[in-house]
Amino acid sequence: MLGAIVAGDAGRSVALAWTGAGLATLLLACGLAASSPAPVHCGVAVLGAILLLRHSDRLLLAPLYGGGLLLVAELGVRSIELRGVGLIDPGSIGTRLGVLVAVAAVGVCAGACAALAVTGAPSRSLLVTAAGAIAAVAVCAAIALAARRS
Amino acid sequence: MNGALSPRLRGLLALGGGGLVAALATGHPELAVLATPFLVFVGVSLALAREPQLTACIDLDRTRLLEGERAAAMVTLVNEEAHAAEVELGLAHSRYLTLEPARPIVLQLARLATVTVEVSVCPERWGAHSVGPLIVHARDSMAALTWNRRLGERVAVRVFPREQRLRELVAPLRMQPFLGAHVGRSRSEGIEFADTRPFQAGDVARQVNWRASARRGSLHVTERHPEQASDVVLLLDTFAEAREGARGTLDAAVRATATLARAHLARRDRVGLVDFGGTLHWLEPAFGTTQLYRIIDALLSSEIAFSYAWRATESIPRRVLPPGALILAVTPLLDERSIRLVTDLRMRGCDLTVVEVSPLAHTTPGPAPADPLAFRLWRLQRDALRARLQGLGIGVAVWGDDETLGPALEGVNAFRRSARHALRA
Amino acid sequence: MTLLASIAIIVVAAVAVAVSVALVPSKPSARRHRPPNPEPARPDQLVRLERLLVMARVSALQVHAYLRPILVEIASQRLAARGQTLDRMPDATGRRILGDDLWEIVRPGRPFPEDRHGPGVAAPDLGAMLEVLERL
Repeated sequence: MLGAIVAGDAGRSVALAWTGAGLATLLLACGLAASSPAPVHCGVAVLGAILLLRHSDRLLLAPLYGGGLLLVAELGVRSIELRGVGLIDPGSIGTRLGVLVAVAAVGVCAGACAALAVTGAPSRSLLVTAAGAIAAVAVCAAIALAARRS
Repeated sequence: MNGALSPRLRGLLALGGGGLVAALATGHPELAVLATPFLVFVGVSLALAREPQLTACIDLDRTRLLEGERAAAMVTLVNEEAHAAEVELGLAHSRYLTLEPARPIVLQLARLATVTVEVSVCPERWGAHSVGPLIVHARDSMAALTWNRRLGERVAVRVFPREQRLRELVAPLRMQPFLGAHVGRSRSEGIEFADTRPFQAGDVARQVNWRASARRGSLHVTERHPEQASDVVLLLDTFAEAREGARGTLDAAVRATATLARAHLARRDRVGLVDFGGTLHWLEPAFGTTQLYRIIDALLSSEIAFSYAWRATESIPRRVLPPGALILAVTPLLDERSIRLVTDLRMRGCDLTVVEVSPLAHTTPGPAPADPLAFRLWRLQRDALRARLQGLGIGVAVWGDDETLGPALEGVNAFRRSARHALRA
Repeated sequence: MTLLASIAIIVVAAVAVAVSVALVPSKPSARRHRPPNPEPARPDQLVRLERLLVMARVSALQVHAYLRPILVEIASQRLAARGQTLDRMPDATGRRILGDDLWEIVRPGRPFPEDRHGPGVAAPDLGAMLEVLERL
């Protein structure tokens, strides 16, 4: 579905878009078959990259598209986790799905705020690049430190 | 928090960070917007993760089973925290127990909730087994962290060997002066008619056989055979076994020993047990139901203990082998020490019978081209060994686990009847 | 210069992000596995015979020292069941009942082989000998 969103407005790059979507699907299937989250995440990265093939409304669609990618990644990993389990309480599936959708919605809102911020940002310059790099490293480092303390 | 981080968080952080770097490199801010939900998700997951406080207990409806019977284990799990948690439950168990469901169970535990799950426990063979503790992998609601716990206590389950009914047992050569179920050869008080003889001083009036007296014109008394018990010692060979998969000769040997113990104790014989192997255990002969439970309890802990120790008849205390006892050696005849023991006991004049637990059903020829020949040679060698033991006056009952023990014992009785004079010598 | 600086900043940022990701500990939760089935236990008697037959194919010494006593015991017991003794059996009778190959090995007074490293007993010949013993 995400591939169709891209291919719908990809112009001359339709074939490339569908190829990317196919490759992502293959990677997702490999990840599920091998019970490994790494191919699932690679497939999600490919799906994210093919958004650039879309000609218009990329920034508008990006928050929802990012939320969709997050759902794909998490649902894929959840399928892997539940493999090899004998009995599953239906409540556990519903609860986890609900929490996932809620947090994904929060992420989509944050993405929309980021899109707004980007729209009003000055054009690219060394200063902007450096600020962006510092922000990226700071966010990742903060999350990694929080993870290590836990 | 000290739970284990889920491996997928690293992947999500890599996607988020990669999206930001790609946005910087390509100048496409859409990639940064794509990455934002991933970073938000990871951050929120870590911030909201709380360690669950869980307690559990395991109850079994039955802790004593026969082989093939099932028990139900009720696992009760309590969430003592005000946060919901997802738990993956597994029940630790000893090797020869099968659980249904065999795979882990995933449950959602609401805040301050109690959940009970039923797990069916089915033993594959006899023994002293255990169920528990509960292995719990608890996850927070977003599964960012997993806490591994062992909850509850181990519950012991005793599984008794499946026994057969025996109509005929090996008849002992010598009796003991205790009341029992065997008809003795001597003449004394009893029920079985033996003979009549003329009245002698000291005979009591109720022994007078009036019909014989009337026919012969003088007082005659009835002589009877007494009902006597015998001493039986069960010798279980735990030096070596042949095993393929979950079944082996030791399993069959323990079942046979339990069957023989129950049958002889039911006939009011005194029964003892010697577990002769890498470790030596024994029970002195005694009567009754208590002795049966002692023997079964001792059998439940039988196992093959590999040992280079040389064991001989001298290793067995004299009081465990009473004079005149019938010794039933339950053995697969795989270890030289066991073969030497039975031969030695026979040379000392013991009344000995071997119940050979055939290892052929638990052994297959090897994969090499010459291995089928070795297997045939081994079978011939075992036949020769059996003939050698029979030449010494030792009856050998060959028994496979899938057959009943009765016909094998009948064959041994026929051998003992034909060799009675040699055995008594 | 500006382009080079931008590239440098992006590369450094990429490396820093990669290091941050690598710092995140990752340990999959261990799942209980069913205890494996116990190892099959093959009788030592059989394993020793399998090794002996491998050696007996190529060594006359192994045949005389190790295989012969086993065949003698088996043949003696099986002949005893027919009321015959191997020790006192005439040569012609032995060859007739046991066959030339088997008699050559089990006959009383068989001398020690002069060539210890000479050839042993081939598998087909041993198979034929076992067949003779099984028929007795």
